[in-house]
Amino acid sequence: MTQEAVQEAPPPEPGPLARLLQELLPGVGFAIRETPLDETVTISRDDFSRVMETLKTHERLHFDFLRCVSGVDYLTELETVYHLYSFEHGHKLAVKVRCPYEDPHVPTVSHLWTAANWLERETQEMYGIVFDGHPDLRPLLTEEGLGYYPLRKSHPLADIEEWQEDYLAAIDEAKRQAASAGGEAPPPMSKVEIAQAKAKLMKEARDKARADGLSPEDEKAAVRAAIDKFNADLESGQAGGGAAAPAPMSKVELAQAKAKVITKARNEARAKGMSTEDEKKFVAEALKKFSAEQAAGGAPAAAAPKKEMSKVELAQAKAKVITKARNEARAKGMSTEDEKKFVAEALKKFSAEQAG
Amino acid sequence: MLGILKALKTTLQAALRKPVTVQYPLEKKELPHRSRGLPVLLWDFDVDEPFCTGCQVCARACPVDCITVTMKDNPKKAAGKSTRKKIVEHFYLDYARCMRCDICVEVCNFDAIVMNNTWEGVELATYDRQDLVLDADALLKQSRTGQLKDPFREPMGVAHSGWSPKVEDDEEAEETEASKEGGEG
Amino acid sequence: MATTDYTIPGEPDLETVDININVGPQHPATHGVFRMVLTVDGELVTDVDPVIGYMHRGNEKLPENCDYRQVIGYHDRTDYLAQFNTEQCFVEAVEKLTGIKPTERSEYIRVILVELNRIMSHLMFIGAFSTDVGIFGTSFMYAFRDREYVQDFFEEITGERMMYNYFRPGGLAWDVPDNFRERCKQVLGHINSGLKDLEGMIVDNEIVLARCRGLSRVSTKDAINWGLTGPLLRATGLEYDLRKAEPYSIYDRFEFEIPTGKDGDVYDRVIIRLEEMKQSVRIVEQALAGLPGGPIMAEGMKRTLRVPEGEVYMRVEGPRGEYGVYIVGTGTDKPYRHKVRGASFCNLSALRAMSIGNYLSDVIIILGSIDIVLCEVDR
Repeated sequence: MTQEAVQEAPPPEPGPLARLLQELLPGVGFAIRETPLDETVTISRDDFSRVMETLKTHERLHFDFLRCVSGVDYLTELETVYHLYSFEHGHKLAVKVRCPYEDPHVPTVSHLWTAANWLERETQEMYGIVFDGHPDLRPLLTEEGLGYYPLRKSHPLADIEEWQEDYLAAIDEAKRQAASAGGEAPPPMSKVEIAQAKAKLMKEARDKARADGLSPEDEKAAVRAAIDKFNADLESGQAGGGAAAPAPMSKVELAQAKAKVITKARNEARAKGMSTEDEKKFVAEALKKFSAEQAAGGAPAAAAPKKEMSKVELAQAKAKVITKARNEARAKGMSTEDEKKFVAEALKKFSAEQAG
Repeated sequence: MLGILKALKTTLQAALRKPVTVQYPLEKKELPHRSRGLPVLLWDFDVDEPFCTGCQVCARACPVDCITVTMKDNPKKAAGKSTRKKIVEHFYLDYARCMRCDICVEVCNFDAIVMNNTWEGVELATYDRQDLVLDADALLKQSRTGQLKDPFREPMGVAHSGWSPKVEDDEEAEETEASKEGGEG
Repeated sequence: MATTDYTIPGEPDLETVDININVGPQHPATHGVFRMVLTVDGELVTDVDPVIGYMHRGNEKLPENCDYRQVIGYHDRTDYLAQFNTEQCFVEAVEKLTGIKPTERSEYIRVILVELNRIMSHLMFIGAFSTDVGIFGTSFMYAFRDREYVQDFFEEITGERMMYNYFRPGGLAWDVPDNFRERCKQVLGHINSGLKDLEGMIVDNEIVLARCRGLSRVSTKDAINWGLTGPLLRATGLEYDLRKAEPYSIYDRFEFEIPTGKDGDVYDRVIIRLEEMKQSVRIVEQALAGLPGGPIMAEGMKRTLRVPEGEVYMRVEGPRGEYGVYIVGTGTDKPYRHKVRGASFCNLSALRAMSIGNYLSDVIIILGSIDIVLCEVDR
């Protein structure tokens, strides 16, 4: 697209640098393009090596500094742009060279400017332009054997997101399945999950509507229909799930609930204008109350037939008993011998409980 | 040797200066008025409804695509209490994604979304990253309860002069958006 | 592995073996997630293979799918120590392509913020570098104290401490607060006194002198060939600063000097950065004196910024050297190609040449003297 437009426009007047190049390098075709800051010339790939060598070595040009090498993907062709600067003369030049998509080869300039080494490596891995004669064309930023060139226009961005979403969804699904295989019903959706699912659904519906070219009115209607369907599904699903007993709180949920209680208590205390000390007490009380409630609620669960403790859980429980007993012994000021005995006793008691 | 003594002198002088740090969780620095916490929605106390009309401008301008929003007909308009024809139906903002670039505030035609300039907009640790997806109620809470007293809005005609002119009429805003959308699609 | 024969007089012949040492990617001396594989012969480094890419986030691909306003935020995240410099580079590039003329006031404010940001970045360098050298803690804390004053100041203006997203093509997002002048002077006062502290600790410090003088000397010719820019190039004695060589923005209106070194060694690189901070203070003072009133956004901006067909390689003098952006516009609201030339990317490519033949512990100092920002290297 850009390429055509360039060809249609009348060729701009060559600048002083372009005229100098034409004078010093007869027989080389320079397509001149006007850009701010730099003078830009496009040369063919066959002339490239010769031109770059002259640019570096000729005393009237002497471009000793290679600023930047950038690849550009013009869909049918790949372009490499070299920005050069001459400290001696203050010349600023951009040299462009194009190569076809099927044959992405450009001679290297890394023997002229060492700075080109990494810049060309990066361009190679991002665009797949092979710089012939480069000493070390390993990929620089991405891993080896990637198999695609990320900065080419043919490499989509949206698809990657979809892959990731699919991946996450697969993990979620696997978790759910594992949970249901364990004999437990899948946990009901939390509020947040519902919100996320809704958001995703809306987006999908919107994107689909846009892809189909619906008018904004129809698009809205489509999105609404999708949400209504979701709500209906959810209600019917929850009606079934509501009969099941609420699952006991997981550790994380408990922590979250606790954090909520703390925040609430603190905010309440602050609203009442309590001092810092009183606030702390208030929060502690709220927390105690919460714990008591939990214990009361948790008691029936404890009365239920005990599941056999796993080995790890057993070890953890044991460790707890030991720590507790030791601390108790120390608090009582026992001697080391007595302490050991005390702990051993506590442990024995615990084992007996487990067996019984 | 002289150099070491010089360096020691500088170090010793510092012992006489006041500390420049504060004991953070116990003592909090005052946030500047323009502080950019995470975005929240504003509540219109005059009509008792959110400012947000759900026009989706912010959702489109968001570089990281963290906003999802829909619009519905305003029931209060039919009752004659409000001048807003449309009102926000769902508004989800993913705080985990948001990069606090302030573009949503800049493009909003109704001054409905602002960056939170209180400590609540910064201290957002949760146990689960899913808790960082907030819905409209949660986003409006700060403004509704009066915790967000004085949000910073860019002066009219400054940020808006260049990028997006203020559109007073709802209809006009919608039309512009619709045409823009059509042009893109 | 290559083997080397060493003959020590009076001793039986010994045979030594080169070994590989892996430094990083999670290593405090690498200033981020950067890994280098060193081949050492005893204590001497015979080869360095820098491995980068751990922070690669597609910062060139993402902006090609964003409109021009959204790109500014991504530029903050390339060089996260000199955010205003990167933003300036991008908005200047867009202005060059579209022909938008930013207002006087916004140009002055931009210069003030950019120079303060340069000071901030150099303070970070001094702090981190002195830790590399072995002056643990003290100067790091000093540098960070002064950096904090500047950061607070930026927070009052933009609302953010790091990712400002404040410059716009044609001007600024919003005006600075009313007490801008007074606060700026206050910050400059803090910086001036802080610079005295740092000078007292760095310039004549025995540790710095012993470890940095004469280390990794680079000639001007080599430096140019390797693509070094910024303080590394000026340390070799070449007086080259883009602010003077190709004056962009309004830098031609200010008086300042370009500090240069003589030897091109690590010590010169440090001293140049200390000196540059003073020059930046000078520029800020001049800009503050000349700060005009008026609008901060150019008139006649469209609702959606579309950049006409064309391309530009805009470069600015960042704290680490030449930061460049190459944009190809195709008449849409998104850049067709968006290339970032990170200064530390090109400077880091010369690490191998600079390090070979030095001692293992000195390589860390050489790496520190490059002042790499890994987000800019990997993009």
